[in-house]
Amino acid sequence: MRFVPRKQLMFHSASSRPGYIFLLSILAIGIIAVATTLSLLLLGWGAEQNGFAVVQSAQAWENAQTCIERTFRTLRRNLAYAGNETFILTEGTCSLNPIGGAHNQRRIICSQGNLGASTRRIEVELEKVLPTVIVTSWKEVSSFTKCP
Amino acid sequence: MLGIGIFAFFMVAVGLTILSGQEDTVMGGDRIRAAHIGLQGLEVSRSIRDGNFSSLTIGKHGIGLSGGTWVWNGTQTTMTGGYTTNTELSVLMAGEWMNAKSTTTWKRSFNRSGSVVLHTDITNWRPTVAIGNWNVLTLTGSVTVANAFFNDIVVTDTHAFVASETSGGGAGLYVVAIGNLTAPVITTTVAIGAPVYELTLRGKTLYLVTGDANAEIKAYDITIPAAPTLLTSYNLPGSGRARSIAVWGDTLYVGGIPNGAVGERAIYSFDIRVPGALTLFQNLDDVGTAFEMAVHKTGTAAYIADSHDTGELRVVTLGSSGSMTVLGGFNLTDGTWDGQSVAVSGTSALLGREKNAQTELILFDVRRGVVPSTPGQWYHEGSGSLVGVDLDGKSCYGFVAAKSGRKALQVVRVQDKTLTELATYNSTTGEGRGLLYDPTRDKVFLLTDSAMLVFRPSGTTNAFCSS
Repeated sequence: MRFVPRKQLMFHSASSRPGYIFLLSILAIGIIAVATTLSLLLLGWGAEQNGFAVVQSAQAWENAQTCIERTFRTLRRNLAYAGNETFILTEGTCSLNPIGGAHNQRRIICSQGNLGASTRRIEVELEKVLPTVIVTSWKEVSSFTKCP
Repeated sequence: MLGIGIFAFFMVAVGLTILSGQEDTVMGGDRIRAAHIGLQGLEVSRSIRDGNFSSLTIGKHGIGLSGGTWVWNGTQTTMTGGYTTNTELSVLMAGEWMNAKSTTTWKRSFNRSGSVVLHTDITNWRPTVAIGNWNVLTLTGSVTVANAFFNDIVVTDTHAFVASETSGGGAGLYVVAIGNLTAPVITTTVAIGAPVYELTLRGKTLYLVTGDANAEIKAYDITIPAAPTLLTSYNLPGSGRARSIAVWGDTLYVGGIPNGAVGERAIYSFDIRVPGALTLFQNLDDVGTAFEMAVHKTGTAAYIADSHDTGELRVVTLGSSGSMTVLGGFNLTDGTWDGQSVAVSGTSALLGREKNAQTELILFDVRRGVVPSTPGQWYHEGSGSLVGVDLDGKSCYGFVAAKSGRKALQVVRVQDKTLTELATYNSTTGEGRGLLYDPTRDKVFLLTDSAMLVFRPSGTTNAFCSS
């Protein structure tokens, strides 16, 4: 076994310490950089998903409007129309609950538009259909309360 | 050197990743803004439709503002931020129904572009169906079945379903094609085996009240109008007591002759959420016969033409799940002639009674949906038992069927409460038995002993009914 004098050992420790510090610093900076990068990447991905969700939600809204428009047209031709059907549209679907009221008095229309994970609901109350459609209320709702 | 190279590669990778994340964030923002621009384009289409449906012309349109209203402007519009949008219209049914497609595009650089497309339907539901001048009655078409003794009628956009007695050889149910009202045609007769007193329609299901002792209520599927198919029937306690029917939402109400026996009530309510099923909600006891029922516009009360001697107009409150309570009745103190027919429109209710000296037709103000008191009532001599009444959607006119050949159909002015007689029709096909005012066509269907007659007004609108 080679004998290494104590002074020589201490000299070797002192001269390699800066290397360890540099390496640790680089590692720390790297970890921070990777974390920051991943965060920005995920935030960007999240923002892009938000964009898609907003577009889907907008189309779901228009799908609900489409059902309302179609129902108005059908009721003006046939006051016995009862709703309770689903339409497959260009993008997504819209569904009608059973229409409340009867004939030409107080019709309540609940329309739900769907596309992907997005759902939008509209509740419309009519005082009359004929001779003129008289709308009492027309509003977006989170859940239907007026439909049978 | 190797270390420097690895470090440099690492930094480039980090830099590109950061840029990619930034790009995604910007793209997301672009897409959100484009969605809002697209929604605006479709809303503009509806706004233009609200002014005049014929302004929705086929093709691509840009949008603009003129005098505070939206107008079409060119074939596309460039919005702030470099977005280009257009709304493309196509016809689904001429004059009635169009599809609108809004396309919004943007291009920032060679690798940063995109588009958002939104679709919707737009229909022509805004116009008013003009109510003609019913001072002039014109017979436009008819179908005749000798001694059918028609009782009631409902109509869809293509067909009429007419109820009849069977004593004179009638089938019970007739299906009439009314695509051409100058020449209606019976397409189908359905032998019910019992008289059909009244009927009502909910979607594609036709409900009848009949004199069948074991199945007073029958439900038919009319998806194919010329081939009604029996879905189900319901046997009320007693024998053949049902006389009237009405529907509100997914609840069916049936009225009839109370018998005093246990369970043999005056009015029944049914759950009809499932078209092929009749599930009893409740029955309600009352002492009079419910000859006809009409539901108030709020859906919270029903008015009944009744035989009750101190309540010829009975009022029943309606609650959820078919619950019913007798609220009371309006006593016509000039006598005990039974209520025979009733109609409700807006704040007006018309009651037709058995023949008497001068008060066969009574107009009530029912704006509060309770037993009417004041203002009102208004009276008219109807020239016979009034077996059918109806009102137009603006309560300008009342239409009355009298159990009489003379003045079998009468038109009275309801708008000013005077009940002034405006027009009459003397039947050559027997006595009047029922009628229906169809607001979708502005036509009256009169039922007599042997015919279904279709009437139209003159083309011009009466001034008192034009506002």
